[in-house]
Amino acid sequence: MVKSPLFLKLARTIKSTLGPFLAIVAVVAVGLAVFVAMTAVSDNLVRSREAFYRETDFADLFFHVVRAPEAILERVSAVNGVIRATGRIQKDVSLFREDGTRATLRLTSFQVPMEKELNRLRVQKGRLFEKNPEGGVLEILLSPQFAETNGLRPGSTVSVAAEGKEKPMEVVGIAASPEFVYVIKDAASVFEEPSSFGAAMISQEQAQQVLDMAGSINQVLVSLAPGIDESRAREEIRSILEPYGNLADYPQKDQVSEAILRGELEQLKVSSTYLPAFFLGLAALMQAVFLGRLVKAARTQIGLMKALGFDNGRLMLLYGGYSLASSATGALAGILAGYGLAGLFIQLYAAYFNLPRLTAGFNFRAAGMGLALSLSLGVASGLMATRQVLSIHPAESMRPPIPARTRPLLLERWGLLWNRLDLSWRMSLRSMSRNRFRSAVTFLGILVSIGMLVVSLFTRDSMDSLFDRHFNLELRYDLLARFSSPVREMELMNLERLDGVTLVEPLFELPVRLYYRGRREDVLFVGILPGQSLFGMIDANDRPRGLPASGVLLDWNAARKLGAAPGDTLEVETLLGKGPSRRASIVVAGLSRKSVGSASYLDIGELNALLRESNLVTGAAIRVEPGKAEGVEKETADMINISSVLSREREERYLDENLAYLYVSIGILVFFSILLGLAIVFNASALTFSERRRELASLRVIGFSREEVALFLLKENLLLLLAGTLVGLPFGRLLSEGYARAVSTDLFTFVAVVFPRTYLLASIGGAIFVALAFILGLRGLDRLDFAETIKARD
Amino acid sequence: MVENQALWRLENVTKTYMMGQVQVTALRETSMEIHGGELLVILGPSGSGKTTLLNLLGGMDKPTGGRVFFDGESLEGANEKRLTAYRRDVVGFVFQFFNLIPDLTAVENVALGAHLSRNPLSPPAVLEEVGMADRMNHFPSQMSGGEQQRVSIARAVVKNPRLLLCDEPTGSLDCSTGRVILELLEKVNRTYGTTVVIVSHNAAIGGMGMRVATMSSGRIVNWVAHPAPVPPGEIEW
Repeated sequence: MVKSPLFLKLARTIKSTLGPFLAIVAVVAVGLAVFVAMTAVSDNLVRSREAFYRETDFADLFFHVVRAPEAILERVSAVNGVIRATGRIQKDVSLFREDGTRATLRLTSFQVPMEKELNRLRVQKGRLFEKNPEGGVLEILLSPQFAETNGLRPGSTVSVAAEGKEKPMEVVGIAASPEFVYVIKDAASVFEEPSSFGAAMISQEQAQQVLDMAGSINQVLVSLAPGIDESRAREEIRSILEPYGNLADYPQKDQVSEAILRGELEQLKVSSTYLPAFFLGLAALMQAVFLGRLVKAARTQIGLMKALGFDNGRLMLLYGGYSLASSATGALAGILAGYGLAGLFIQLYAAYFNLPRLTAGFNFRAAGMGLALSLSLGVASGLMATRQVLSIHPAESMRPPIPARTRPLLLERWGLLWNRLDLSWRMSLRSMSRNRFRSAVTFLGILVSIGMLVVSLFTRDSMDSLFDRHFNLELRYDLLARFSSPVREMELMNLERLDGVTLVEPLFELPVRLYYRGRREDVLFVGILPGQSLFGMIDANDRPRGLPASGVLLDWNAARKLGAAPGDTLEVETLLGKGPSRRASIVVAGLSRKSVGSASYLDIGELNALLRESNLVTGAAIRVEPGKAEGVEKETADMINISSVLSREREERYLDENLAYLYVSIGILVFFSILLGLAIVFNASALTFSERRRELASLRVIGFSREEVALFLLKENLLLLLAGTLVGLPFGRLLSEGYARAVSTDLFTFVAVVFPRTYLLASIGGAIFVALAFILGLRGLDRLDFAETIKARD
Repeated sequence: MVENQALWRLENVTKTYMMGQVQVTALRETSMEIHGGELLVILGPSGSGKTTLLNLLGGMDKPTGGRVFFDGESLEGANEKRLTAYRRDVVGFVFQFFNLIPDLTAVENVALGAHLSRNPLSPPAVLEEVGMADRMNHFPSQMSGGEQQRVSIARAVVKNPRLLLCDEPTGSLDCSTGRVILELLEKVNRTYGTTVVIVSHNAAIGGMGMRVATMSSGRIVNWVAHPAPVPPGEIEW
């Protein structure tokens, strides 16, 4: 095959400018890798989620009541728009582990056969429970992570405390459920280890028997016909369930597992939009700048080719082909890398989310979109840069080069300063201003690179500060024991007696519904002792504060949703689930802001008064002597009315061990940021060098040393690098805040915290870029044959 | 005033290059002496080795064989640092394509040269000397070729060098502008006593040299001495 001379020329041009070509390829590749990976992961998650929800008929509305007869389902089903309603029992029970510690199981019941029910299970291992197993054995299925972290499998037997009695249950299978895609007790429990909380599924009949709920249910799930007014149906069902103690009701989007999954998807969407946009945009600018220089340097050659008869179109194709080639190479590399990266991310997600169909695969949509995007950017930047080809006149191009057109700067009018600048600075400033577009791209590239370095490191800072606040300011206890139902405060003496316990403080956690000016909001009231020392409260301005003498320190998010402020009086309805529901009013004494989840604090006496009770507690915060927490926890195993014990030590350990996924993503981002910075610096240096090689050669010839000339060369980029770094730091801060806002949900407020350490590390990144620019300059000078360059025409 | 003793001396100098995969001998066993204060013209067609000779004299290149002496000292063993110092302190260059720094004005370009010297002349004074007093604050892009070459001469002269090497200084200029430049070079030689070596393929220029060497195929094939050189203003080509 005879190759066209233009094609050969293109191939040789690429070969002779391989460094800058590869730098552009790298930036395109990173942009596309991130785009393809994130889009593939996000597509994959969305698809698996939708398929799973459809396949298992995930409910649209959830209602929690104290206890209702099963027959109530007929009335709920009759509500306009309701397609299907399922009644079930869900209750948290304790599981005793062999080492004496306990875990919490959310026991959920299912009708057998299951076909017509909502939130069906998908059995992954073993089998489904039977309706009436032989010998009355209690059969359960477990969620995968819980089974795995506790070493349980089909055939294992576990010991569970329900209604004050310890009962053996047989694990017959492992199953995934749409409401336990992410298994978590509640929004406040994000730091709890997966081995301490799991989902257990049991048949309706056995649940009713174990939990003393014969003929009754405590939850109603509903699916609605499309296009139905959800809030109206919700209101109607709520009034049907009102007599049975309506504890909570929420739509699918507020179901905790779905809310966390959706938050994750939104985070992915943010990353898959902004990162690739930065990289591809910068790659296009780099292409335009580099091609522009290439065309300028090849002025004589282009003129010659025109003289030989090549037309503008073909010449533009030649140079435009350069950017198309770099885009296409980058796109292919990016798609391949993105495919690998997607596999890594899917693996990470699969460890946290139980989505049965979540497997890595090649995503043609993401690859196709990425390819189209980068090629069109390549064409656009190619066209932009090769417009100059049109204005090259064959005869003119053969004449000696005209010196670059320089104009005095505005700064020069400021003689006092200008006259103090030495000649090398004057040269650099004028050259920067003469090559404004190129300077802007270098500045922008460094700005983005440094900004991204700050963003990639800030997640770690924010997490550190979140943990610090959570573990050192807000929670000062070693163990938190919760009872299965309220007990007299005197019972805490049993805890005080345990070996190693130094302090026990009572706690009453009461779910309540607040009403204010027609709005309502369910929150958790936490009653504690005035003068207690194991809970730290932090106000909306992040300042520590004490418990008010009267009234409630309301969660700031609940206050925002209610539109209530300190001084306002709210109506409270208690939602304890035991005993009658009470109504009273309470004053907002102040606002509290918890790092994870939410809590509204008040005096435990005042809380008891809301229930018209006294001296009741639902739990205890315990401080123990160093090293004795585990022993104390084991001793509580005998106390059957304790439903769960949280250990701060275990939570901290779990977090330390499980931040791997965070470090992986930080590592990848840091790598990409540095790669971008290096590519930008490399190209800027190559461009400055190629454009100024003639003057550099003259400087060498007239007697400047290699180092002096390298400094001349560096100065131009130094200013841009310094400015890019300086502006990049606050830009990173802004990006971090935007990112934090984008990923914050109602469940979890992510506050952007950037430690000085991060700014320092990012600045070191900037310094590395400067050093690299200098080294590249020196290397170029070593290779520069100045005697030859000086004689050449251009 | 021409000194009696040779300040530069070449002994059997050979220079070979690799041009791609072909070895080219640019200079073959050439010997010559240059006296302080003389104005020497080296003539020859392109490829005859005159630029190579100039590069060796200017410390831009090292010979493959033979030795180059300056003031009795051999430049042969000099490292890059010493050669840089030699270029800085001893030599001034004037090129065919002027090679001014585009981002510096005329006076700034000259000041750049002055910056290198231990006893520089005053940049504005030198610019005045070359007839560029009224264009001091112009950038190269605002000057004609002849004006750029005058600034380039000023940049070389301001260092107060002992040797001024001029490689085809009129190569990019029309005849009358070229003549002005040659007059200027002769004036530098006369006023400051600077040794001036002019390399050209234009035989007419030979007339202004006190001595004229003609080169061909890497060798000096002819020497002519002019006891009374022709003033540059009278040269025609």
